[in-house]
Amino acid sequence: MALSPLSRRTLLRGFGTALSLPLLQAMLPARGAARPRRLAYLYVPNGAHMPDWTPAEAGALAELPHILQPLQPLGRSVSVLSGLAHDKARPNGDGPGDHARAAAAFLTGVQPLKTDGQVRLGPSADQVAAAALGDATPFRSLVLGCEAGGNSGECDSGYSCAYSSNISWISPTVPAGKEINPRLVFDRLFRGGEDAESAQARARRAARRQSVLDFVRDDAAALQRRLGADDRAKLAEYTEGVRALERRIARAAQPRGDEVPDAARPAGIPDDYGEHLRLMLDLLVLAFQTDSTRVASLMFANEGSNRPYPMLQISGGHHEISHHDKDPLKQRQIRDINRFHVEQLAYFLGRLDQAREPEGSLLDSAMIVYGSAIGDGNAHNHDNLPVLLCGRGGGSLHPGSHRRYPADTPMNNLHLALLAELGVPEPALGDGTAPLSGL
Amino acid sequence: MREMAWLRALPRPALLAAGAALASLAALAGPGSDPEFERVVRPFVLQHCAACHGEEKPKAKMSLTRFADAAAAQAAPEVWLEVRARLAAGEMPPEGRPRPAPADAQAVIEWIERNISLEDVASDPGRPLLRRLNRAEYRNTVRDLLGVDYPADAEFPADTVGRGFDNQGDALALTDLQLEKYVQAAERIAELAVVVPEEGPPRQRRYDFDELEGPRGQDSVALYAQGEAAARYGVPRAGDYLLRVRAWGDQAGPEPCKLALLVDGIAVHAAAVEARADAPQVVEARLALEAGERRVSARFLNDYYHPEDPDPAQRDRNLYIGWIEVLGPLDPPAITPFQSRLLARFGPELGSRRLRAILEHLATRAWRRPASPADVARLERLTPAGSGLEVRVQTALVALLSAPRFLYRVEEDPPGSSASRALNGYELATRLSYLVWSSTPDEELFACAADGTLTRPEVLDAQLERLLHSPRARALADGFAAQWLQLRSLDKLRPDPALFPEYDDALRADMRDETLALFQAVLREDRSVWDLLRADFSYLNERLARLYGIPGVSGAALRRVSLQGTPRRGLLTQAAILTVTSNPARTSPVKRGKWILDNVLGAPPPPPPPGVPLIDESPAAAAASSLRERMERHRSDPNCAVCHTRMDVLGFGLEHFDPIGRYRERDGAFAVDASGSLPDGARFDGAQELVGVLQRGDAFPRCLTEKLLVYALGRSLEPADRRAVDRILAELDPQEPTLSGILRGIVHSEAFTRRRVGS
Repeated sequence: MALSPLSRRTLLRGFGTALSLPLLQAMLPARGAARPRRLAYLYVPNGAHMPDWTPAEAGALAELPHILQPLQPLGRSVSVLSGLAHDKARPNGDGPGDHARAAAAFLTGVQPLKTDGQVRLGPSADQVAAAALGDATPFRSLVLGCEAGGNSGECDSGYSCAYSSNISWISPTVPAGKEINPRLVFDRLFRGGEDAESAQARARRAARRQSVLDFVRDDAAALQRRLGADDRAKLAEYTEGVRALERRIARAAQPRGDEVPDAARPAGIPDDYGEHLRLMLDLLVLAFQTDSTRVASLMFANEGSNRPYPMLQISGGHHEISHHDKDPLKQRQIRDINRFHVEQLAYFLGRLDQAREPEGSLLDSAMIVYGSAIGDGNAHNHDNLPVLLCGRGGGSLHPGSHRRYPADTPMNNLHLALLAELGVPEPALGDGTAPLSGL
Repeated sequence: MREMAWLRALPRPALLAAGAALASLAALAGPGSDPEFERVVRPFVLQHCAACHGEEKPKAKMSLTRFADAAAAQAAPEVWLEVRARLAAGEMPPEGRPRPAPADAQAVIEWIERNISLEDVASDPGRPLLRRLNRAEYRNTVRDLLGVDYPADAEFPADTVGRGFDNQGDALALTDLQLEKYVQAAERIAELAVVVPEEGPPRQRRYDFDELEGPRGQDSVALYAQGEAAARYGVPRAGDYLLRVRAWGDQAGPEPCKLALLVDGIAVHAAAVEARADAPQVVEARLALEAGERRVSARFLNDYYHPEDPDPAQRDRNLYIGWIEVLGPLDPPAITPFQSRLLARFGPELGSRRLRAILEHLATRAWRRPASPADVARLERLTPAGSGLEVRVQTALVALLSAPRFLYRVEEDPPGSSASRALNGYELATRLSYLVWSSTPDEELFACAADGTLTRPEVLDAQLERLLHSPRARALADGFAAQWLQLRSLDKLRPDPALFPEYDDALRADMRDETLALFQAVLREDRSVWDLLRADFSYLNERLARLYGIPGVSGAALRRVSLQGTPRRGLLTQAAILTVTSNPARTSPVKRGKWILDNVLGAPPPPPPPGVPLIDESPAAAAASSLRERMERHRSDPNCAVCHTRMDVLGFGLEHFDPIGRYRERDGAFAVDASGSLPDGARFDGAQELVGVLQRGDAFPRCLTEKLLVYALGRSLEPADRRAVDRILAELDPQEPTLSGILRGIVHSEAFTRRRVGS
């Protein structure tokens, strides 16, 4: 009899769905009574084929355009935001490099520094939120991707590769560093970064880790006093890392409602890209569900990504095809790739919708921004960006419509609005002017 | 003004001589006053610079308006050399500001070159920032210290690159994620370096059916067809383990169920399962397992399905797996090479004096400077006195490898030092070994640091020589050459598979290895650095030789092959370089020209202005005229011409090589034209003649020296460093400069042997 073996992802997913009330009820009181809200930014590269993206009319969403059709069943949880722009992704005198600038500006609204092997940008919206909310959960934020960082070399017309492969920035010079291996993400979230081992061994290790951290903290403090100002600033990164790790150990010591079983542990990076994406999205769901973090970002691919899409019978590279020069075949391929990405978003939203919490679903509590900081990949424009806002934000968002904003409305105004909703006091970010209204 | 970048490619002495002659004329006009400064420089500054670089809060804290006369300017040579560099690179005034007339900017540049000399710049060894170990340095350091090979590349996030290299202090940040990974790595490495004998009975790990991979049934993994039940087991150390599987079957057909036990997909044991659901049996096998995560599984081997059989009990044979269990390790642990080294050094007798001696040794080596009694006492307190020696050493290692003094290369200024100070022996040993080996000093170098001899020039020389002749000097190829020549970009490139089906991972690795092999040969055999450009030999295997059309090379190993009688010479005609400078479907003379300017001549062109039209790449245009013709049309735009006349011309010299480095006479329908003439009148046709042109002057050794100096210091070069470069070049054999000569100049330079104190 032929039965296809269950994939690891199916197990992870199965587990996620099974894990519902008991876990969250066990955990929530310990972490504060207010209902948590979750913020996620999902980035897709190379823009979109806008004629098949933008709904014909503003107002309540009816029949969705081709690319967005996979979202039809979830239409009441999704808004299409038209007219947003990222001015800082434009050259503004810096010459070519639209891809690097797009990813750089997406969550920062800051013009990246283009110079010989240096980076300077600004903190990103997710990391501002993480800094404000961080102490509520074991992880301040989860920063994920599907393509390796490749911070080496220049990736786009003289820009450091750090720009096109990171949307999350802790500070103007430090990208948050994304994880692309689902197994490492899982281990980090649920195994204290360790391979499966006995609870006893884990406890022993935790105790040793605490004494080691005490040791190195003293060490760093002693060194700190003896260094010059510029070296002290470098060492401060280290000290901050120690503090964050200690926080995590302290939380891990608290009793947990459940243990995530080994069976759910992903094996590694799947060969199939769609599988990889869905696995990362599964982990995001699980991270939100276990309240491991409330802030996340995921780059579906690095900006300017030139990966082929064999599952769509597309053997050319995404970036190359995006310069379609109005060739109808290439335009169709771009549309197919865009739709493939939106299918993964629909999968993610569906999973969030199924994950029940005491007061509704995870999707009810979520604020999810999906989009790109390039409009049309052929034109390399940075206005009228493809942007979706999904979830109800715990009642603060009212999705289900196509909203048109005046041309060149800064996308950072959307970030400001979401940060304000999360309770970040007087948020300021990049070129944002005022929080976007009517969300 | 952009033409000026060419001056960097001209022989220096000619320039300086002309400058000196004019400067002495200017000096006749009396101190302070120089009519040309007042006529040329001052008005230029007031018109183009004053808005940002005035007296009030000047940008970059650089006021230019405060220089009222030539004498004032000459008193601040570092400022004016910076002005010259920015003007020459076209970076100032910034885009968006009115452009000065090129002749005006040129006049200012020439005034600076005549009147401001590097020799006037105050000596300053510079101040490198605290440098974190990058991934390669971390891996090498752990390997050399503890004999553990830790896959840092796979475990740590990518290091940020600055100035083209991943070892620059300011670019190497440390995030929360990274610190977490460092602590985990320290734990794993300590466990691999020091094996603690297990106590008590062997560890048992059982995976019940619902923890197993595989099709899940009621109370088991149910294998109805060929399939398997699997678990991922983290083997704590290499050793003997018992693998046990509880199994039963639906028995049907002529034979009982059969299963195989597998480790990482390889069958290690097979057995028949005659048991049925009412009385399951346990299959077990004793196995030797390597440390690390292993996939252990039980596979159903003999599916049997005859739905037509009249006896329902004989229709379907299925296998069920109730659980999989791993027990062990069963044998005592073997001690590691690191442990036997400790044993040989400190002897087997126990006692707290021995523990302290070991801790002092480890702390000294891990932190690259003598451990203080306080360090040792703190390490000793880290673990309870009752623990065994192994546990205490292991814990100390976790702490040492997690500490800032291991993760960063710390240079600590003693209180009360003056403006600059000489490095101590340990700091110098550390700089030297990370430069050549990307790793920590070995015993001998450490001994030279400890007895203070390393700061003697002849000892420093001898040690550099020794390090360069070690196999570990391979790190200089992987760390320096691969980044200088942009070989790491090869991994990101995907030549169009329809046009270049032969380009695959294996060929890409060969390309990279060929280029690094040439670099290593020049280093190892102390050849002239000109050989990098002109070598009439290369390192090929069968695959590369086929690509190059060179007969008589067979097998996968690279070996030295003569290029006599072929159109190839040196780096520029190697497939790796030709590929990283191409577009997926065609060559890019622009990229190739820029690569030469950046990496051979040290004269990077300024970035293109905004709104540049692209060249027409449509199929119709490509059929109608050659790439060269289209680019020449494109270049008729004067905005583009200033840079592209030299960039494209250099690149066209390599047009006989296609996007993956094969030789060609035709590009599509058009005959290749690889001739060119440079703005200074030099003419060439094809790669060999181009290489000849590039050998004029000292631009190439200068460029290489600057790149190596940036790599060695981990910071940007300042005006005082330019003088160091001049000195290093002056010491070289002008005909046959060598890499070891450049490195010798670097390690003896002030910038390398001293540091500035205070910010």
